[in-house]
Amino acid sequence: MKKILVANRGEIALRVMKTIRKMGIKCVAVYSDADRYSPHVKFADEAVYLGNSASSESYLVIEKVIDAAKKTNADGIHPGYGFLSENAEFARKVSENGIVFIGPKVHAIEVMGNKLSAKEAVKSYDIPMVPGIDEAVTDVALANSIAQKIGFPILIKAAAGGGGKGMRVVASLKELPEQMNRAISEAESAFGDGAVFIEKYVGSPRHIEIQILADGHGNIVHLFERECSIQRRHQKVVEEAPSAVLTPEIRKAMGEAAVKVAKACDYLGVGTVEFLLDENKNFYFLEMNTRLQVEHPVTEMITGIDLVEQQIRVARGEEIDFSQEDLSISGHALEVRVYAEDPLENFIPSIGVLFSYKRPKGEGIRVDDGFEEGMEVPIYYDPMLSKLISYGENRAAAIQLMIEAIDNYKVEGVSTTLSFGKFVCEHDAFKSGNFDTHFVKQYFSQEKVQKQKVEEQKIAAMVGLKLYLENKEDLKLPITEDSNWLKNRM
Amino acid sequence: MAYTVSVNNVKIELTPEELENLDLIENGSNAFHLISENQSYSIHVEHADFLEKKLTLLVNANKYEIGIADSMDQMVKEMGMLNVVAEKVNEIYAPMPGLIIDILIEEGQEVEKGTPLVVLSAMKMENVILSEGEGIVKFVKVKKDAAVDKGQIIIEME
Amino acid sequence: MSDKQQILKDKLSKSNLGGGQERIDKQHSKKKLTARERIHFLVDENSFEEMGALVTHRTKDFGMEKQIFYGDGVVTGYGTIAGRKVCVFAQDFTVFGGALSETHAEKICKIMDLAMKIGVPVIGLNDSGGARIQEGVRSLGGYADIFHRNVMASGVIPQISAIMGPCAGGAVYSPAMTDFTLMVENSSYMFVTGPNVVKTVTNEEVTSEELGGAKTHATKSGVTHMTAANDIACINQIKQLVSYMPQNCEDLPIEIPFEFGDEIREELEHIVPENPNQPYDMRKVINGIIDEKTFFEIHKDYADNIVVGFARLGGKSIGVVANQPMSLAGVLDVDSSKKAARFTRFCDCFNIPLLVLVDVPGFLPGTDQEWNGIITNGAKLLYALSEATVPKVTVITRKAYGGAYDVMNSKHIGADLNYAWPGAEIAVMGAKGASEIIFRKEINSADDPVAKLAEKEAEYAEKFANPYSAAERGFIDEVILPKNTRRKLIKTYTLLENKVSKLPKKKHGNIPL
Repeated sequence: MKKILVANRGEIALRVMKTIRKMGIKCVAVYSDADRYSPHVKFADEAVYLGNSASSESYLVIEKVIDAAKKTNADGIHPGYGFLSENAEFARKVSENGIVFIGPKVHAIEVMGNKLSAKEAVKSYDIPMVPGIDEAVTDVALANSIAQKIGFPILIKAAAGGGGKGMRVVASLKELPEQMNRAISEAESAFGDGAVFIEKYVGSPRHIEIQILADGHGNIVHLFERECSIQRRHQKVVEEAPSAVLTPEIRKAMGEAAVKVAKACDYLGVGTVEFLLDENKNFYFLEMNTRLQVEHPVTEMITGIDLVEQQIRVARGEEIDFSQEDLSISGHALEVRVYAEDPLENFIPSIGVLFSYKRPKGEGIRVDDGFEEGMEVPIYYDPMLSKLISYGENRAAAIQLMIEAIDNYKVEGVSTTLSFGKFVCEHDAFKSGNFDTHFVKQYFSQEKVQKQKVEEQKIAAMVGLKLYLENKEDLKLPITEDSNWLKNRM
Repeated sequence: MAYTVSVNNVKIELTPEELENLDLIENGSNAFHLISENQSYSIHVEHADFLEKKLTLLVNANKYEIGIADSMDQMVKEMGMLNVVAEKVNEIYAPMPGLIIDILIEEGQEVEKGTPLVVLSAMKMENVILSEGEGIVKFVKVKKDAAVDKGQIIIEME
Repeated sequence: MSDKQQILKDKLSKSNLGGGQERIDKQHSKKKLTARERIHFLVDENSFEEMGALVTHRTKDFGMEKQIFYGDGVVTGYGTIAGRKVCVFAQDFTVFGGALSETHAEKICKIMDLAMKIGVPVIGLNDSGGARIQEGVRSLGGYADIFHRNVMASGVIPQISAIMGPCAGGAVYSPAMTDFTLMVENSSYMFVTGPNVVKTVTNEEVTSEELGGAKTHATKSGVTHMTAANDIACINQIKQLVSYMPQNCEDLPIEIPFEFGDEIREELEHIVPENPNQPYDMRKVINGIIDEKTFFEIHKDYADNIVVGFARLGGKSIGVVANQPMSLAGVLDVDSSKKAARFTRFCDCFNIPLLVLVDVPGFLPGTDQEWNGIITNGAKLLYALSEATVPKVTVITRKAYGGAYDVMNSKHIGADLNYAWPGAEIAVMGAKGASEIIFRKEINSADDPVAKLAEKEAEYAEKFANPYSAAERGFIDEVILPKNTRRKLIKTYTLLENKVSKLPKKKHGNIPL
């Protein structure tokens, strides 16, 4: 491979290109109107304009992306995450055009793209799954009998879904018909597919995922776990590796299960197998993400392996040059996703211009970003500004380093989740490792936030008044204009 | 003297005496650090217009728009000098003799200052008569194509 | 504190209270601010330095020797507005109703003399019941001292008067001679003789407000240039007004840094209607040309067939004089000529370039106009524009007919650059009127005179209802597209920046007053 087109934008495009360049390969960027000034466009060797700012007219248009690759003679396409990264049709068309798709094969994307077909595929591999049914139901009576079998509370989930839409927790039989109907209609309007299925609801779940890597020669390894339980709106905000609660035994068991999942879909490249871990440390297979994950850096930090480099190598047909036994965990890594959102206002997106943007620097600190000072945060895409990663010899050191890094990260112009990241890092539950996916709901309460806000308001008022009163006492002289008065009147 | 400081539209009353014990130090240009009840706050001055008594501060990276009103500002506000209501008008007169060629409003309609009311043709030119203030149209005292004299009442308002 | 310090402190705090708390409260109850409060809001905070805070009157008659107030009813001093120096006096109604005494007048004269020495604007905030009658002729002398200084300062430094309370009798002539007068609605009035005298002499029943209130002078007499709903609004207008002016006649107005784009304004293409008899709002043209939200209109409610005011163009201060087709088709009449002439002369005094926008069908006919001297008054505008030596630029948006074409800053009277839009009609008169005269015989002898007139009208219109015969003669320098007007004018004023134009040596011209 001599030239790779990165079909993405923002931090991930830049991060992928850095590895591409490191490997001595040329890189091609694509961009929309909103991204002409973005660093990924300036970094790339070549850049191709796709279209209007809306992603449906640029980054999501398969033909445009493939045309861009053909125009620049790129022989590989890296899809990043999001956009077209898990689009089977895209992967197929890329291959049909004689370009290497840096990712899994079409079959794997298709199988893992639907929760029910994914369950079906791994059935024969003895993977633990949340008790429930593995086919779509629409009939309330049938749902009733299943629910009674597995016991309340249950969870209704959309087969095609994600992002919490079409998801309902049902505590008792009485609620079932109503909740079921709402889940179906939600799923229908969100995904155009009303199919839902039923699972046992796991009470205090932790979200733990296993990074796997597979080549085309039958080798599959896992690169340990990432803990992603700190979420808001079912989206991850703080991730870490390794997890604070996994024993070597569970880690091994989960790793092996993940490898089996990969095998089940004939996987190629890097992928992530997501599990739920309940309070008794039972783990259940959730789904597989057939792409590079946002939070991949924490795995890179603790294993010393560049995952993008591995993706490109296996895409080129190379064999993985290490075995499972060669891999070990060294130290601890943390990632805070820096979103342009206001944590004090229910994480609503915060639009604006980054009139000040200064990254923290230092040993053990990594910032993956796609913004520069003075840039506008575009309204068209994901509001993630950057990922702040800290690495220390143990968990406590990584947390401490993260707090310092957050303090040294200066972002002005938009509100960010940095303050929320600090809140998490300083919280006793997080520090002790005793938390689950309900962390935000449980601890980040609005009252606490409100109190903090009122306190800050008062501080702001006092400081503002003090500065004003001090300024008022300063001697101020009139503007001495460039006047002709004296000259002409002498 | 007491000050009313508005912070993102929340009003806080403060006196200079309350600021005396503020543990505030300068921390670079336009940057300050403050300790209050053992809590640490880093403060950035994003914008300051002391003449207008307006500041924008970032406290722990959260943005606060601050407006300061001293006792004089409060006094004129109480005297109603800051929110001026548009004057009400009662009658609209024809400014010149001419022909009413169009009526642009209806009785009962609310008008603002500058709302076009009627079109008066004079000197072969169409003149749009605008409302001089705000009000509700009570009577339209002319008909379309009627001739009017200078000073004749065209519209009554309430 | 030492005794000496205490004495000073006591005196100053007494002076600060003017006529005392009771009278201050009374002033407030009338929705009026006190002199010191007004100054506080007018100038930059903490910039004011008072002069003569300890002045007292010298009258010994009628028990006046027992009524001594420090400052004697007027606060004078200097400060800054947006950092620029100004001299200010504010009459204090809480002391003898702001009545003017000899010493009160001396304080005003002193601050005016200072302003004249250092070349900065004078702003007077008037709130006075009139002369201090107890002082008799000394008080009258004080007025005249001020009048004379107003005249001497005229054209040297900008002078602004705000009427924020009563201003009656001889007192009115000081504001009348300053450059701009502002009045506060419902709390101010100006007249030479009050309602009581009017009743005795002419038997007219009239209230102070009707006779000389803000609205009256803004619409009927044109004595005031602006009105404001209250003291604060009035003060804010003054601040805005001075921002367009230089400090004195030797200096240029302050320029605001401006970053240029292509400066093409597409909206200007759609303002003038197709039908030449349809009105449109010339303010839209003005706003389309100038920097956004910079138009500061003068005499808004007076003679609205002409629009005048200050604006910024590419950050530079300019004065705009524009016919208003929306009112009386934009004709020139007595009032509009006076209004535009006075504004033109102010701009010329203080180096503010002029922009004249023309859409004028002629002068207003009628006995009313002729008997009120449209000849002399029209001549004022002709004289003022002709005499002005600042950069003078004209844009004809539509009609420029007859003598009014000459008056409205034509090439012939010294305009530097004259532009016309493609729809401009530059001619002696409208096509119909012209045809009726030129082809009278032909039309009268025709079988169908109406059809003949229409035919001739069309013929005339085609020949003259356009800018091209004027352009062929060089009366118009360029015919420009409306959308390019702003861009063109910014370049034009930069070109004319160092224009030198001198009047012949004379004592002063004799404008037809």
